[in-house]
Amino acid sequence: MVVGELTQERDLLIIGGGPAGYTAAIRAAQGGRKVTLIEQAELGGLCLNRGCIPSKVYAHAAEEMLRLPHLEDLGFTTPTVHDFSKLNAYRNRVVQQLRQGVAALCQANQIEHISGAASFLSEDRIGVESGHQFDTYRFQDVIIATGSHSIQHEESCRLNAEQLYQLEQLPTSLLIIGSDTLALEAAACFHALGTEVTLFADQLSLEPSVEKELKRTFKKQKIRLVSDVVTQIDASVDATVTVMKNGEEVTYHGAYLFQSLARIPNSLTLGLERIGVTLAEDGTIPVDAYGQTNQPHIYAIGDVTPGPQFATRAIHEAKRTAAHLSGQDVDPTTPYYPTVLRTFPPIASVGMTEQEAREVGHTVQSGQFPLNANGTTTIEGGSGFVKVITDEQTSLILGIHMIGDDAHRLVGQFTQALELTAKREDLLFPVMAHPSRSEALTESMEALFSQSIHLPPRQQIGSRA
Amino acid sequence: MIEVKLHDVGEGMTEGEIAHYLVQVGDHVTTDQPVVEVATDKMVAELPAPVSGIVKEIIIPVGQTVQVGTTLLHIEASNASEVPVAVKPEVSRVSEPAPVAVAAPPAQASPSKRVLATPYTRKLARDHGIDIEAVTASDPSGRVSEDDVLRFVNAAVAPQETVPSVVEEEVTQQQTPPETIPFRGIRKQIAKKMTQSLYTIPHVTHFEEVDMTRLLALRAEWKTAGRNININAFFIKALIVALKDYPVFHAKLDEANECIRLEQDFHFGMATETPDGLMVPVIRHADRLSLTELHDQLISLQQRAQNGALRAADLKPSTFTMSNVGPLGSTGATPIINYPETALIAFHKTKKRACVDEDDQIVVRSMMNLSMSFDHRVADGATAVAFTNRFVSLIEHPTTLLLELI
Repeated sequence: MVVGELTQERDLLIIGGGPAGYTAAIRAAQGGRKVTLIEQAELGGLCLNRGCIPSKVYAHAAEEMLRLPHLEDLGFTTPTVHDFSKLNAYRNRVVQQLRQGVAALCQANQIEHISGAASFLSEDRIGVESGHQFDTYRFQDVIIATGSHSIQHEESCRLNAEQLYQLEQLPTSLLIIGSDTLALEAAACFHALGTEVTLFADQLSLEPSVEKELKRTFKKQKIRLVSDVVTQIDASVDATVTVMKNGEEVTYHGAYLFQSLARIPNSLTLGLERIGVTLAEDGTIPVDAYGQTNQPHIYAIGDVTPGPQFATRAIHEAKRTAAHLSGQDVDPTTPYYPTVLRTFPPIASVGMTEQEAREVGHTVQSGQFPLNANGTTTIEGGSGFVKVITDEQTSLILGIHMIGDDAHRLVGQFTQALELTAKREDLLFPVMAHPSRSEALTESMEALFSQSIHLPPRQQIGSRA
Repeated sequence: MIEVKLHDVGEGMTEGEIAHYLVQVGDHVTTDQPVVEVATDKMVAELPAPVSGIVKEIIIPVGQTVQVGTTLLHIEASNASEVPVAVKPEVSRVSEPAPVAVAAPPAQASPSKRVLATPYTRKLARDHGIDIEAVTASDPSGRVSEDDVLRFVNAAVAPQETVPSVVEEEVTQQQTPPETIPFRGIRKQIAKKMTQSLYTIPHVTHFEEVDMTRLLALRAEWKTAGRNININAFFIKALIVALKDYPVFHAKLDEANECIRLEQDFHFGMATETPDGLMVPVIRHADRLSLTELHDQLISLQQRAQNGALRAADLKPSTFTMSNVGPLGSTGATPIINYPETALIAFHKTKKRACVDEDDQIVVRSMMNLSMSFDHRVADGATAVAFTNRFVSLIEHPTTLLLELI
């Protein structure tokens, strides 16, 4: 290791080139800061290279594959053979294109990109190690955007979230333990691509009506759902999961095992203890509403801070903190984060469930509209529903939940409604194109008063409690 | 750096208590903008900023009494070009936004607890440097609108006395919120004194009627002789005689030392309506003044009070307070004692009434009611009645006042 002789002067350092880091870098550069972005692996981080993007390439393929029977209905002769290696090649092209796009944007914004692993030497100095090179930089401000990772296991048949979408061959069978987004998406996706999937999960922790509908869909798609208690797992030679069913041990076998475990914040190798930045017990870095740590010039954003671990939050916090550090008066309000599950059909949610709304004291009135009564859904095939949660007294919209095709596309509209503090009338009046999936939102609002047009009186689904 | 010093706001004022700062460190102030309220025994005055600039330091804490000439705060004078006043005058008057000071909600805080407002409305609040959580929503659902924010901003910059007509128009189109009167300065001081008195002293009020006929005749006679004497001068003279006989009503209760201190100097507080509210200017050593001198002092005090020109010397502590509301009307009241005195007497309107005289004849007499409140801790009802009887007999037989001449 060669220690650089000179400490180089920098303005704003950003550690981590994932969605949080590169977004913050670009926004800070737009705000007039001189930005240096330090990434030890690839620009785009886990999200772009091994997480969100690869999994969504697979989800896209799976979705198309599930539409093949429908294409037959429309008169097409559909292909029956799937070349998994071509899908991987396509995934690589998408990832590469996006990564190059990030690099080009950084360059265009005159962001200095340094490869290497960063650690703090003192309150205003950081060392970056790259192979045998070790350089030190003095900075004005720093944003820690190092993200999180999943545990990598020793066992050859056990995969973590990052390895799941990097397999050379489609696994014949897959055992999945977990009920979170990663587990449910993996189950739906690999099953659709042709893997025999067994999902070990009890409660899916979704909005109850959505959960019921997803379980129904899984059953219809013949995804095996095991809700018994897992007593033993083994993944050394092949993967086995043993559960206790009616007092007897039952063992399931698969080619691979994926267990969705808590993600670990990447905070421990940064030398934060040297400079007095507080860490929480779980390794996250506590911050205020602007991302500031207990040190005034040190900020942290995204998965490395407490909160839901997804890129949606990371990107929002990146823009907020970068603007704040560029001297802008930013809105520190925690936004409504839309959550999306790319199951088939997809699920999208924003705001509160009925139970959450009741817990904070609302008198809840909800309305629901099934998509099989929606014209567009009848044309394109599919099922699901839109459900709105409102406050009966103030008529404020509290939450909107959807399972059904285009849910991930329509959730933007739901989020806007909540951010604009919409009331019932605000969603009843705006006109939706006909025919379109959006009409289901209007009809779910009308269901609050049992006035959905496309449902007979006895099938109107509105409830008050 | 400009020092803002406590200067004499009334003749003879030597010290004052810092009642309230109207600005905070970091605030922009403009010339003549009130920055601090200073209280003396009887009044509250607002000291204005001598220059435009930024409040740099507040030196004397609230509640401390300081001498005239003491530096209270520092203002860093600014050139007009540096102050953003020209662009957004309202911003400079609103206190510094406190985004950092506001306890930041944790990143994962439930959005349901946040202020109901659109992102644009929140930006509007930030642009005006106000905390949106402080804005009251006119919508019963708690949804804060742009109008709510703008109304809050306008209320914050509106001068104390007048509300700009623009705001009034806006308000009438809306839900017509209640009009507000600033509860500060003298109004607040009055409230404080009244509360202190009523919560400390067990008040009793008794009523009496006085035949004013002879006194009015005497006064008329002197008037034809070219000597006009204010009726209050007679009241003061008669009260001094009665108080000397019943000194417990001219006293202070000193509970700490377990004694009632009988006052020896006669400083008469005259409860007086002024444009700013109730004030109690004082005629000092009233027992040493002739009726003519009393008359002259009463007239000049009244003029200064009406012109809002009372001086600090006029407002020194009194030993007994009277209130003559007769010229305004009324037949009775339950006045609040001017703490820490032990009694207060109020005179009501004199009216001609049919009375029965000693010969059982119905005669026309000029009758006046009086209400006397006293501290039941130091005196009892019988003493109070004896006191008012003494006073009434002096007024009903004004020539007997001659007997008291020294």
